[in-house]
Formats: sequence, structure tokens, C-alpha cells
Amino acid sequence: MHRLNTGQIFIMSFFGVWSERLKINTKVYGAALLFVIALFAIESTSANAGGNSPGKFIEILGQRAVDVLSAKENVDFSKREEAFRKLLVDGFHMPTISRFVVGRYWRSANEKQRNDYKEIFVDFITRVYAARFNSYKGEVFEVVQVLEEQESNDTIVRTQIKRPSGGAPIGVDYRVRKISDSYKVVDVNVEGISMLHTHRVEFASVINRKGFDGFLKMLKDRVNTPISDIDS
Amino acid sequence: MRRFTPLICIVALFALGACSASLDSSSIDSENKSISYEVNDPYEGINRKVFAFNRALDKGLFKHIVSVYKIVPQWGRDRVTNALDNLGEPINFTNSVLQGNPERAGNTFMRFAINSTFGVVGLFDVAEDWGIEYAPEDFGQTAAVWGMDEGPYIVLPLFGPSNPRDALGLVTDFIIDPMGYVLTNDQSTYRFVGNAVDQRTAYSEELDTMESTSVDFYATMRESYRQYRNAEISNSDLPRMMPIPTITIEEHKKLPKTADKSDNLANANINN
Repeated sequence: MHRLNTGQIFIMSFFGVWSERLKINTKVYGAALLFVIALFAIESTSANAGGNSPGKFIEILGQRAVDVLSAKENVDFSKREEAFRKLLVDGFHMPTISRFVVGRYWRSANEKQRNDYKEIFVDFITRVYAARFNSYKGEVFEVVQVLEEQESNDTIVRTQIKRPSGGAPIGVDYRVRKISDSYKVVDVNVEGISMLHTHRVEFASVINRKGFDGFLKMLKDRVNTPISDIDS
Repeated sequence: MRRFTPLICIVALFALGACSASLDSSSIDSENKSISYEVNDPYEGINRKVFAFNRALDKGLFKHIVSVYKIVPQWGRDRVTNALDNLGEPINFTNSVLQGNPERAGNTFMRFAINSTFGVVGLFDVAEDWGIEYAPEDFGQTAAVWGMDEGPYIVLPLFGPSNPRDALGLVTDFIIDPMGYVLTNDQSTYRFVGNAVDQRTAYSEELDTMESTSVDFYATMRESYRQYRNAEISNSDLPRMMPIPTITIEEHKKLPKTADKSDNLANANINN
């Protein structure tokens, strides 16, 4: 019963379910609930066909990534990286991600450190993904499964990347969350490894040893390290 | 990372680890809405030294071996991978049985039968084309299924990221592997070396990228290993993604000034 659109929320509040569900009697509540479930069922089937669904969102995002990688003008790494930045900023919820990966250290950081971090983090995450996909050429990307996660209201979109060289496909799962009426990626799992949880542990290790400023400096160093072009 | 046979996994680690690792438990502190991590790495000092040693060995030796091996075209390397995976099926089967998983054991048995015959001594993974997927199982996973905790993170010289449970698994697999009784000592050695080269080659790009984009490669490997092993142990087709709390949004509400900037960056409206 999650992923309600504004229309459903409106109807729910109309029945008093949304804001005052405890006050109304169970009969009304039950009827309203049934109605909403029916609506939800209709909406979810049409949404999947119409394109306004997490699965479709990831499909479009994936297609964009494939386009970035196959575009002729993106042969050098810096251009690819720039294209990836746009893609990530559009498709990923950076505020959630950037905050999550520094964990509790956010609180101890001062205003300047926070602002510096938020800026450099986007560069860093762009670098990570652009570099990760740097060797890709002719990969086939497909959405294999879309799962609603009950406890979080997130949707897990499972995809597979098939490499042209053959071998087992790489499983990549996206955690998609609806934020302000648009879908955003909040985590990426590659073969069971959460990128964000991994960064979080990694960052904690650095901040612990080098302090927040030392950590920022290391992030900057990483981003400024040149990466060779595709064909080298 | 799917193609981890038990022994292969071990040996991959030898090449500095396609696996990496530790135990840290994350717990959501609901009151503060923050997640605190406990990384179970009491021997971090020694571990980092061993890790650095493995890396030096990797740079000085294995990377060169990999680059030479890459002269062999992908098609040829795939045949080697398949054949080595096939030799790993008996121990996969053994561990599936020990884990009390007859379905996986049956699949693995079928794979071994099909690929050894129709697949020309395992050179071709015919079984996968027929829909029977490769299911690596090692004794580390078996021990986990039996309820053994992973224990503290340790980096083994040559073998790389591990923990007491997986290290025990490594030794046990070596002893109980039926293939070990079929192959001669020389053949076993070739297989071991073959696995090492094969696995290091398979993950060379990923590892290089990981290294070049990490701010702490050691910590990245430790955490990746832990998560990867957990995913392997669970044998689940369904993703078991760890939650990402919605902390940011609330934090940003409290800090509207800093939120603005980030919002512009993220092209996201977080008023909701």
C-alpha cells in the first residue's frame, strides 16, 4: 500500500483514512481501503505500461547510460564523465546519498566542511561510476524484476548487464525511492554489494584516521587523479 | 563476481582478492536516525600490513601474469574458466549436500554430468544454456549455514580477505574436495595456478577501478568482501539490500540553508 500518487492520497483523505484513520469506524475504513486497493491495482498496471513506474524509470536511466557509453563524441574519459554527471544528478538523489555515506560524521562537520563535502561528493561519485563503466562497450542492459519493499516503501529494480564478451551477466539492483513525486535512485547493489554501504564504511575509516578535512582532501585527490581514455 | 567456485574464490583472494571483507554490524539507531557501524577488525594494524604486502605482490607479479594471459582471446579464456569451474562442481556438490540443499546439489550434479560430456570436459557451459545455473558453494558458506559466525576480519598473505570461518572453509575444502583424490598432485597444482590466473584476470578491471576510485581501498575491500560473502551465503535470488534511511530529508529540513545548495546540485526538490 505504498507508492500512492496524489490522486490516491486525495481520495484517502476524503475518506478520512489518511489523516484521521484512527477516528473513523472500521467499516468505513475497510471500504475505503478496498477502494484504494482497487485504485492502486488499476494504477500499477497502467503505470507499468505507461512508463510512470520505477521499472520504467530505471530502464530509461539505463538506456541513457548505454547512450552515453556508445556516443562517439564521448570517446575521451572527461567527456564521458561529464555526461555521467548529468545522468547521476538527474537520476540519483544526491542529498540522501551524500548524507548517508558520511553517516554520523555529518554532525561533527562544520558548515564549511559540509558544503565542501556536498560539492566534492558529486564529483567523487561521478568519477566512481564513470570509471566503473569506462571499459563498457556494447553491453546489453535489461530490467529483470521490479519488487516493492514492504518495510521501506522503496522499490527494488533488478537489472542485468550482459557483457558482449559473454560470461555470466552482472546483476545490478537499484533501490528506487519516490521523492517529491519523482523517482530517484538511493542505492545501487552490484552482485550483492551495496555501493553506498561500502562507501559509508570506507568513508568512516578515512574520517576516523584523518579527520574530516583529511577526508575531504583525499576525496579531492581522487577526483583529480587522471583516468586514461577508453582505448588506452 | 558470480563465478566464484570455492577453491577459485580462495585463489582469487590470493591475487589480492576479488573478495574482500569483515564483519561489521550496522544498526539503525531509530532515535537519532543514524546508523552506527561496528567494524569487526581488531587486527586492522596487521591486516593493513598484509594487505599492502599482497598489493605489492600483485603489482610486482600477478598483474604481469594477467597481462600476458590476456594475449589469449576472450573466447579461449572463457573455455578455461568453464573447464576450471567444472572441476569445482564436485566440491560445490559436496557443500550443497552438507548444507542440506538437495535442489542445489541436484543442479550441480546435473551440471557436472552435462558439461563433462556434452560440454566437452567442461570447456562449454552447456548446462547454463539449458537453464541450470552455476552455483558455487564452499565450506565457508557451509559453516555459515551451520551457524558459525564469521569472526573478525583477517587478511591472509597471498589469499587475501578472509575471516576465521572462511579460512577454515578454505582448508576444509582443500581436504574434502573429491577432485583432489582424482587429480594427481601435478594436476592439482596446475588447477590451483590456473584458478588463480583465471580469477585474477576475470576481476582485473574491476579491481583496478576499485583501487583507483577508493579513498581507502583496504576498507572498501573489507566491506565488499563481507557483503559479497553474505550474499553468497544467503543463496537468495531476491535482493537483500540493506536499507537506506530517509535521514537526509529531515536533516535538510533542519538545515534549509545548506539544503538549498545540495538541492540545486541534485536537481531535487526535498520539501516533501
